[in-house]
Amino acid sequence: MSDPNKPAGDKKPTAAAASRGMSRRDFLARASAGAIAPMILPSGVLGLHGRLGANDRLVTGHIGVGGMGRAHLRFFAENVGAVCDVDDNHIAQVIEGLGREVPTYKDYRRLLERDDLDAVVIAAPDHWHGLMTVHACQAGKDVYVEKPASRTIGEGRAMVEAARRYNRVVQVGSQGRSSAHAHAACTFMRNGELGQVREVVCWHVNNYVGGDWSKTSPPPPNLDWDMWLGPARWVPYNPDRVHFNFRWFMDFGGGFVRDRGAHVLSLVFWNLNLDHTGPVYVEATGRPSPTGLWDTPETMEATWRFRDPELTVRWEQPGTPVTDYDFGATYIGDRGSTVIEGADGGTIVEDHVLNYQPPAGGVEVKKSPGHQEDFVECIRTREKPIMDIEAGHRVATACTMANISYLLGRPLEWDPVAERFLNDPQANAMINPPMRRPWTLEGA
Amino acid sequence: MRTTTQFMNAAAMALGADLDPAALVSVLAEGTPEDRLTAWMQAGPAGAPAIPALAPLLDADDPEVVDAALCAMERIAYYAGRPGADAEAQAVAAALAAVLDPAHPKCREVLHRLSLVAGDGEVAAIAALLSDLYLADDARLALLRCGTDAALAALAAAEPLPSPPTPLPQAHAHNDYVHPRPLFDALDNGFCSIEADIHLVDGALLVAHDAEEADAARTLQGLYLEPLLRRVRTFGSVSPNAPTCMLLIDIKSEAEPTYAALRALLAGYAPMLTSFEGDAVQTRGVTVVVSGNRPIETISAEPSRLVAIDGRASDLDSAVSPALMPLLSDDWTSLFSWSGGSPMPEDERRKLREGVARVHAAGRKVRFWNTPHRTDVWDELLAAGVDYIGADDLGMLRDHLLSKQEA
Repeated sequence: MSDPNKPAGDKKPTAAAASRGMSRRDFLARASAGAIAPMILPSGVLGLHGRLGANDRLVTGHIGVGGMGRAHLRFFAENVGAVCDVDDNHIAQVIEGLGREVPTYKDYRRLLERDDLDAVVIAAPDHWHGLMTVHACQAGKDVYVEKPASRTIGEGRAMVEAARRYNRVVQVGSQGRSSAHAHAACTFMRNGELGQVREVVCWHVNNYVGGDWSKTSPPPPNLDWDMWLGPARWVPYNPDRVHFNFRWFMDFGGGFVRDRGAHVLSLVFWNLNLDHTGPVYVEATGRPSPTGLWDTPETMEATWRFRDPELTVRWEQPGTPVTDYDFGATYIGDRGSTVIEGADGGTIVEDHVLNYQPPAGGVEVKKSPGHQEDFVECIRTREKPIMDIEAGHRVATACTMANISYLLGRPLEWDPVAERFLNDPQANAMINPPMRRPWTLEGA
Repeated sequence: MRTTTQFMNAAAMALGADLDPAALVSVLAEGTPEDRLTAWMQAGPAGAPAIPALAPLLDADDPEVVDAALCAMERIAYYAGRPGADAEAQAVAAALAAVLDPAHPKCREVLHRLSLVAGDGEVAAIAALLSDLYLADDARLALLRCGTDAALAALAAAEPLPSPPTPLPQAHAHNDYVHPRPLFDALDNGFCSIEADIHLVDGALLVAHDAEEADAARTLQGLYLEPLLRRVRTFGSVSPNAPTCMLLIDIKSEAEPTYAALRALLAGYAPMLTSFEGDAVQTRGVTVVVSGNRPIETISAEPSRLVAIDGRASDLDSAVSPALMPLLSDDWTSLFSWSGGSPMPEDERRKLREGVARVHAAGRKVRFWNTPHRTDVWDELLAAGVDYIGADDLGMLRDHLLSKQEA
């Protein structure tokens, strides 16, 4: 699925679309027409509560309906039972798009109180993912949460624990794993075709820079600024902070290393079977913009080292692109190397990888029917989805560690079992920073 | 102008050479954006001595300079917090605590940086902010980040903490200047509209109801514009999360000369004031609406303004742009006989609601003065969609509006 928040300057066809001889316009049209017939679930499959929506139909609640939230609304279409957004304009726009009235909310907690919702789709900014997911699990809802899974490492672990404690399906929106190309690459590598992969080098275009200080103003009447900020530190409203711009603030998004990093590293972790663990070392540097409101650095280089087996993963912005695509990764093994362009819905791999057939008795990798389809299927089966929250948390942890190292200006050692930094209290204080009142995950 | 010496200092810092706080500050204050960036990125080793030198930059007019100073403080705090540098961290924490000023617009930003290195030595300074309506939660976060037993004990001792007032967009402080703390009493109760009567006396704009009461020490600038500017610099709006604050200036003295003095005074506060260019409105922290003796023709003729005009019921069908006349106000007792204490007569209720709807259809807001100070009257005003409800008893209106929000 394309990212509707991509800037206008992103004019290239997605890799996947290009690979099928499809123009970007065709691809977008197909994606936007992807609304499927209402999804019906057989009776008694919804797990914990054993309850169903009206007419046994899956009923979804949608929290955050700007940006990616719109794409999810198109997919779930007839299944949408309620929407929530802190911006009245977003609500008005999606109601018009749905063509029918559904209950609307500014406070997601009120939406979660609805008994008729089976699942929620969370596409609010990153700093909300943890609280909303935990609260949704507590309310008995299955969750599709956008990537990166969490803003802080502590929130991510709380999300995993909530999913397990309340027996909820939690799918993280790193949808690259559901692409046929990514499946082929994972099958290729899991069957040892590259030998032992020792190094992965990722490239990505720079972070955006900008943000106009002079736009700081009272929040507009349509926006509940206090609720938009939620658990984040209080700062004055500025239109250059909100909606897609949140990506360029450490307190809300954290730049491309977390945004697209959650795609690229999702495939690294999947291909190399790392979903249960994490790096033992990270070092990141970057160069901020000389001016502007946004605080994520324009360029960034991060290095993660893994142990057992030894592996080094590098994130380079801008790095040296191997193709003309905005981002991708080169996997270097002791028997060869391969390149994966993209890592989101536009993932593309080399032809010989795409056409690879594992040997008899070889490793079979789960093939997703589509990322949202996989979520719906797992609601039925109660199996873990292809980007289960544990994997999402591990991936987001690596991304977040890079930003922590960048901010602190020093390399860090990490214990992926205890999920603590070694010998660095200041870094450990950034794992689970306190939240603004009244928000808390204590007792969750 | 950037000097060669300053440039060399910036270049030297890039190489990690000896850091001179004065040179760091000089580059941040006067260097090019590139030099500023180079300087603050390398500021970490400058340590505690640089903190007091950086603090004055937080008053700079250029937000980029302010931001560079805060970035430098953050780098210093992170650098000092590295493993094995406890003494350095303590010195930086003490230096940050020493420049912590609750009245400064950037206090919460300094507090956050302090929280990155704070230890027991700073607990008292941070805990002192727990009683501040607007800084209490930032102080709580800082103590939690600090995390020592002493920090947690100080936090526990201060519970429950005060919270900033909930913004009440309909709450209008009638004759605000009569309250013990003009402006602040209203703002601390969540009011988003403030009324001040002004008189031009010997070239000064004084706030008072009658000319005889005018006191040269109570100026519009001192009582309202200066504190409002500090608030807008702190919160982006007059209060956290609040819409633009209406400053309803009721001109009591002669219209033209008073407005001329007002216009000249407001020009110095343009960055915080909503501006009007024809029908285009740029909303900022404070929106000034002129009432009383209004020089309507003069204001209407201005292509660029920092004020709008308060209309009257007679303007109900006016073709004047809502950008020029965004508000209609009139005397409740001249339009309605009902004063509460019994059900509102249906014909008056209909008249009220239809009138409000017409005002809204024209893109304006509506307010009455001389409304009875009663909750049943306020309920009728709210139900009709009246945009501003005037009150002398600030707490009574606050409590009533909050009870309606919760209901």
